[in-house]
Amino acid sequence: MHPQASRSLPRWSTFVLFMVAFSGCAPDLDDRQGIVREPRFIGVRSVPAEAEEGTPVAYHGLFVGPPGPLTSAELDWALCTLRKPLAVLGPVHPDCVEPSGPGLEPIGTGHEILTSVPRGACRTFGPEPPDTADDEPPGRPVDPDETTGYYQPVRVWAPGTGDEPFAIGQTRVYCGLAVATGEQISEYRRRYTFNQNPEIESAVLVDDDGVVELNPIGDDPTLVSGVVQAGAVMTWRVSWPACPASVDDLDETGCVGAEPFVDFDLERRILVDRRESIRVAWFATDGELEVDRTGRDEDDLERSSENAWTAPAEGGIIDLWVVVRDVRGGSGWQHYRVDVR
Amino acid sequence: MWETGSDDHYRSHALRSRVTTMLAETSKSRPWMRDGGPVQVLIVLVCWLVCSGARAADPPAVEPPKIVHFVEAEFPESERERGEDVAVLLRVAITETGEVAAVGVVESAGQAFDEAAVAAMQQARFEPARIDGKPAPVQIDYRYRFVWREEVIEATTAELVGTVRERGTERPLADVEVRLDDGRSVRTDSSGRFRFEGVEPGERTVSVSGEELTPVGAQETLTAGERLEVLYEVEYVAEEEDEDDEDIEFEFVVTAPRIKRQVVSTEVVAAESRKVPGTQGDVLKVIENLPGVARASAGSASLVVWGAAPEDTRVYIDGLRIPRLYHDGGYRSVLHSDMVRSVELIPGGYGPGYGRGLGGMVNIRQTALDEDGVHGSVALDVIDVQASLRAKLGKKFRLSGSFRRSHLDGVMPLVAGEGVGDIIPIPRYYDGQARLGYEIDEQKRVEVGALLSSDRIRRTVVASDPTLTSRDARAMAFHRVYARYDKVSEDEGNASALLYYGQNASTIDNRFAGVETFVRHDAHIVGGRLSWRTKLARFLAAEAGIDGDFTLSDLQRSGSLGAPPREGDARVFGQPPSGQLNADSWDTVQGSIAAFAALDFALFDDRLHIIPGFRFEPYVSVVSRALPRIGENPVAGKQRLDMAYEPRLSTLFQITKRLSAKAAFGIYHQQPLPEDLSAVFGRPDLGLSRALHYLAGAGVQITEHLDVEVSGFYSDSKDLVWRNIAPQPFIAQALSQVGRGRAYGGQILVRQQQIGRFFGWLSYSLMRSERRDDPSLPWRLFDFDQTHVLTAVASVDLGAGFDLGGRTRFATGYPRTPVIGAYYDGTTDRYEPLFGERNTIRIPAFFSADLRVSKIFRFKKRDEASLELYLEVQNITNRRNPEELVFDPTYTQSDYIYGFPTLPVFGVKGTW
Repeated sequence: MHPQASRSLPRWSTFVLFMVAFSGCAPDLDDRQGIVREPRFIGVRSVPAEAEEGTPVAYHGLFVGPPGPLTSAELDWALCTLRKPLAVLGPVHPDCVEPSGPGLEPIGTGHEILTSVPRGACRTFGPEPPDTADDEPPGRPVDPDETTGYYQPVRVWAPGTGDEPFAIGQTRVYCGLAVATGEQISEYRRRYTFNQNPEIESAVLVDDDGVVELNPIGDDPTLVSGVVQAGAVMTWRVSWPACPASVDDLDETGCVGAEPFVDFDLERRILVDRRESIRVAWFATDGELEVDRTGRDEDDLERSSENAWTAPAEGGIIDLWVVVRDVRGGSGWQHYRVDVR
Repeated sequence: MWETGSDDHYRSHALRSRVTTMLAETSKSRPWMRDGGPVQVLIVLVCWLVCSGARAADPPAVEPPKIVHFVEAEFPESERERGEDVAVLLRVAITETGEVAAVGVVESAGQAFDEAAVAAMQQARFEPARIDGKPAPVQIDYRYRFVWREEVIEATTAELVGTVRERGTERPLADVEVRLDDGRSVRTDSSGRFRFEGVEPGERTVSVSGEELTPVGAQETLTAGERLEVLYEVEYVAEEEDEDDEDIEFEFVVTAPRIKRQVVSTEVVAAESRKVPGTQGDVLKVIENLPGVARASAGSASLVVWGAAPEDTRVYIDGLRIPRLYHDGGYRSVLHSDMVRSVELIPGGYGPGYGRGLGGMVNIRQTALDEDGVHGSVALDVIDVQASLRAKLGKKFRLSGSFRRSHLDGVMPLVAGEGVGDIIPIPRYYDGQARLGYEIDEQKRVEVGALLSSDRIRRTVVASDPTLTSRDARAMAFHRVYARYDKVSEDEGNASALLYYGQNASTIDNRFAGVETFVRHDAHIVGGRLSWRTKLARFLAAEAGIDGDFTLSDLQRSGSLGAPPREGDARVFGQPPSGQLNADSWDTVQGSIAAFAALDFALFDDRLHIIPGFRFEPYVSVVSRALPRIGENPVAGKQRLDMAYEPRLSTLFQITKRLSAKAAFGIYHQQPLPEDLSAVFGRPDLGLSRALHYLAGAGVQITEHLDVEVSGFYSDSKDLVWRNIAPQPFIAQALSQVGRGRAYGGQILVRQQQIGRFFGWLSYSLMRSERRDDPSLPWRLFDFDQTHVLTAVASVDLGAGFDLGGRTRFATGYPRTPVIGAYYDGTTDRYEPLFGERNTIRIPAFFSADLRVSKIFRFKKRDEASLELYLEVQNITNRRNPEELVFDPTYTQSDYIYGFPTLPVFGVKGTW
């Protein structure tokens, strides 16, 4: 068992623990996800993050393992074509998490795949009501997410690797507003800017001995981002670009940081200006992370986040990844490699 | 001088007094004289008279007479208050044979003393006087002295006297058999009085029985030399059942004995349920130990009866429905135990007097407002502090009130450290009740009352990623005010009227895994009930009434369709809700007015009862919004009217004196929850759900106080509401109403009523509850299905105020849906589970043994003042009971959340 598997109550799987009624004992489970111990997906993204029906889109999968990026894995991609039933509480139809089936439209293999957003995505996964017969009432639109966004799911599968894991990614599909007034719909269309995937501007490891600038190495196995001392406790900090404070200051290309955006408040039935929150997921093939996830809420204007990583006591090459996500479904990541001596 | 004894005036304590008179000249020689007493000897021989042949010059030799047979005089009853020595001077003529020829009074001490002394002296015998050696008649003056003397008697027996009267009317009951556990029995006289003398002291059991009376038992503590006066108030069987007597045979009642006892000189004996371990003295928590009730998870307040959904079981307090039985966490009920006379669980098949629910019914009977004086209690334990007060105001009014407030939120941080309240939901609640009763006359009473309850949970778990910081804020409050009129008359029948108004307010405001959930439900409830029952003929009784209830709700909800989850959802504990959100606000009006009637045919000398009944109930449902809000589209509502026809039938056959059989059938309807009438999250046109109950069983009375009940049941529910499984459902149809449910099984209850020092019961239920959410889906197990539920409860009075109770429980674990895989969601950075067939695995079984020890200190015997200390130890074997199945974030490992380890709970309660 991982040395951190047994820990104090507040740190054990917040989701589950928060639901625990006043009972006696928490379970003994490993709730840490930051240390990569088996082949797994740690990120799936769509480029661009948001698109309209029929427009091109590329999907990227970040599939890693203890030795580092698993670039040789044959990733199998398929678009999900089934709407999630209301009785399914997860994000996609269960039939879309299969190697193949009627709910899947294969789009190719590889770590990066090009396709386009299916036409009809806004009807299947968006606010446009599904077709019904003349004597039937209209169909129920799909509920949006908290940013009034709708998403086309994509399934990626890594056959022949480990447990042959599945993952899903999503493209935010611009479908406009469906339940607002005409005036609100017009204003929304005018002011809304498509989401851009966030990017990492810089990353550093800091300890008492100095600062190690972490240069992205992509998938090149020969590069090393920096050298750190074995057993060193280092502050790992990442930052992302600054974005304008106001939606109206954004240009058409958007921004790759915490973007401002216009949203429709479903409860108050008004348009509101918001700013993206940024979530940061930290991964390493060895060592110890103080926490696995950090981030900045939408009210927090800071554009950096930090964690603590303790280098392993024994030397070696360690792979590090940082994945940043914005609240509108965009994501970006960087891969670093450090030489622990 | 003689000493004689008799009882002193009556004294209730151990000392008894005896007044003695002694004839002093013989006291030393008499073995029955009391040792050490201040015997005063006075010899008064005033004169003796030589009758004949006496010569002055040669005085004769004279020997005075000697008494050889003394007769003890009774101390006059009328003179006992004097408390002092009294003497009567007598002149006694004695013949030559020693006979008393005549007695006269020389100095009187009062007529009573004079007569007693003369009467005693007339029966005395003497050795005759001798003159010159020859017997001779003489006359002497004799001072007969009554000497007051108090002494302690070492009494060895006690006396038990009392009155039996009818509860409610306070009418003395004659010819009721009162039996003592030494085999003696007496019948009450015309005043309802009874008396046992020479009772061996100690803990004695008294039973009261009579025609149409349920045999009941009570335990009394008698002390040597004391007389204990008790008052027993009992009820006729027919009057216990209120409006729905036809269903009594299917009410598996384990309640405080159906006897209300007000003991004048000792404490009020606690009800059985208070002594059951795990209840912490809360009477209503005993329900979870009854047959047919599924064991609720630790920290859960769910009440699952015969496989019905928790929200389908109704809770009534004397006919007034309340929305919940327990506070959050299930640690306390919402009604102070001092306000509870009894609680009964009716798992199903009840009569036409009640409806609007597919499941069972919990009927709480409040204590009668009939006590004199001022009584109350104060209690404290680790959970809360409680107080109650009952008082008589003038001749006609009586008042009672109670209040409780939790302090777990203060105690827990002391035990588990600051911040524990942010991790686990610590309930914060209070409740209160107030009642004012007015006795119009012996048959009519009016009562107004109010009750309220409030629960609140608020906590925040801060995550390193602020977007994942979780917040849980829940509140549930309700209050009711009511007025009730009751008329009880054997000749004219019983009639009652109840009017009530109340409010419910509940809020859920959560943020979990970045998903906000908000649900607010405010409701106004108004209703009333009129019922009347009478005996139409010797073999026929009738009951009829009108029962109306309307709820006006104002609701608002936003968040994911899957939060809060529904029964039957394929999910795992702690699974974050979907990120697809919506919002709605709507109003509803739901209600019905029912007319009900039942006839009770008593045939074959009351051995066979056939009770057909019928309930006709039109339901109305109005929803303010039939479709989701879209732009500026006009708002249109939805109304519907549903008619419910509900035949009910119960039969009871007393086959022999000890063997009975029973059966029942009924149709029941229930309106949808207002929360389910949302155009976004539910379906505004939902109608009634329906259930059919079938019951059959038998009862065997093994002894007068030991009986066995065996029952089987089957319930078939239709038109249940569940999620719409259509791939692309229509608008405003997030829910569908095509679900089916069935529950069947049997149960056995072996119950020893409190007789002697012991009471207890053993209950076992074998049940299966299933649902089919859509005709296209297979049957699945109900989320709360428990195949086996075994409960054993026992309590023994150890004497000296000590009680020892034990409880063991075994229950099958709840069904859960297996996780057969998981996938990674690159957008939310979470793993999502993939499920197998719903509810095809189970949490391991539960077993727990609990103990309760209590000690009652009595301070003032006559005033019922006492202090009770109790210690409950739950799970004494420290078994790790799995309560919930949980997974790691990747769903590759699973484990359980375990229930309480060995958990002591200490409490103290003062009562006067």
